[in-house]
Amino acid sequence: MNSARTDDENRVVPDDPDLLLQLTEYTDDSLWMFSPDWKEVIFANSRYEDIFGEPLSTLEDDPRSFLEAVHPDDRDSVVAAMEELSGGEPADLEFRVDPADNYETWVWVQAQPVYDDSGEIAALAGYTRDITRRKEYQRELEHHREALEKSNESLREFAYIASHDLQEPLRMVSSYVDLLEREYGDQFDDEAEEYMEFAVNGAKRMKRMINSLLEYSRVHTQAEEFDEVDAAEVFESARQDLELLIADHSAEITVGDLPTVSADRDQLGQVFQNLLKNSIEHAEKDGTPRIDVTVTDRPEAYEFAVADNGPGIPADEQDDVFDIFRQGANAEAGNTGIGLAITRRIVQRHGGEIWIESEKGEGAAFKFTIPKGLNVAESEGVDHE
Amino acid sequence: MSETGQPVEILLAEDNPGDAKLTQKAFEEGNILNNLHIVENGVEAMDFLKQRGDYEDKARPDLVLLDLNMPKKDGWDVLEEINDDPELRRIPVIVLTSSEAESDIVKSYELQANAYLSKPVDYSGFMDVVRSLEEFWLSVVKMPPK
Repeated sequence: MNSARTDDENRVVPDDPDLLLQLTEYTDDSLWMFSPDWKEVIFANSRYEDIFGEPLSTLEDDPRSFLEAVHPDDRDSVVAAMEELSGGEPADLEFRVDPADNYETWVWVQAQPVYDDSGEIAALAGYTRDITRRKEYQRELEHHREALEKSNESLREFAYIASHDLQEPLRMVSSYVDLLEREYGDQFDDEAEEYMEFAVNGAKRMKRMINSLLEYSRVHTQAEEFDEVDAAEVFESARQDLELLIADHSAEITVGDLPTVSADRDQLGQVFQNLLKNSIEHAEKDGTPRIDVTVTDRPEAYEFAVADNGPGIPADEQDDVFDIFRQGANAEAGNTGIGLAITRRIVQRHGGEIWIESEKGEGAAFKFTIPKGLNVAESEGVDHE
Repeated sequence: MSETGQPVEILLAEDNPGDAKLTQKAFEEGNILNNLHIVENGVEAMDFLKQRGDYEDKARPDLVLLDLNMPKKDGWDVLEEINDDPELRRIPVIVLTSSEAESDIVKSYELQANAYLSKPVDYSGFMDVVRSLEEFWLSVVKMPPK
């Protein structure tokens, strides 16, 4: 039976020192200890060769020979760190090694000076870890970031084309049909008048759709980074913006205690505004329209709900509600119906989900989640228009 | 000027014939006597302003309506050249263009444009613009002496 004891530095140490030595082999890292002047190797486990691609024996002949296994471009910084370590400065650096493998192995070294009882540096100790895989992941992340940038760039281009280049042909059609009507209108028969009206209305709808598409693409092109946002404050702001609409419909709105969330302030405002507006327009028309806004604290996210006492939405129509250019049965005129599509895109951008709970005749509750904690993945790589 | 009963001389620099005609019609239906001169690019715009080449005998305009995107020389360059000339600098310039991009607006004002107007979506929009122009610039504002 091997036994161990707790030493005066609160460590458990085996009586047999060989057991301790065995432990140093049970790691993928290269563990080492050098003399303060780097001229002698005091200790090195057998991982040296796996990482540096050179046998341990070369280190014993000339301890500084490991520098030859270091990428030429990185040697200067390694030498600098070695000198600092000799002077008592802990080391923490990454560099490339293994000439046989074309220096494609990345390593991470952390090292400290070891002091003796009189306060002098007795040795330099540290570990060298192979982090090639981590570097690969970082490279992939970088590629994804670049792809995201490119994607944003195409979105911006698209948004610009939609908003800018399409306006001119649209203007030509609208304006000249208009002029035709003014200057030759009395020469038109009823049929021609009707053709004219169809053309003019078509142009007007096209303009609204183009503007809606631009708004939709702005969810990404004008995205801001996430911040701690007081949802109660944002909701109040949205409610104030809809004052007139609320008054027109004599709607009653109740709000629960809304929390602070991690979000894009403007976009959260858009979500509240869109959902509130949608609910007001669809709520009970015969009685008093009532809108109830609540939040449920879930483990991973806050679940918001905007519920109305309107006619409800049948299950088979619930998914379609969020489509672009979809108009509900009770939608007010002039609405291209993109508000909910934008709302969904924003919620998704925040890493959340949005859905409807409703039955015909029982009102509708629009529910959406905002995950807790900063959602870094979607928050990065966005740009300003 | 409007006080003396003389027609207001307006230079429109616009390469899109469709837009040029809309502007022209809107001014024709307007309330103030005006002569609208149309050029299609920045080179002709500068020739007109400097009263040279084909435009030697033309009057100096009281107001310039400038499209930004023109061939041969664009609206930016015209604005710069107007700004560089102490005589021309006094002429009010209104940039009339389809770009709503913020950078275009800022750049226009930096180059001393007097106003920036987005092109209207339809003909009645053009008439509204002309009406506003007339009310503000031609009746209310005292134009710099020629």
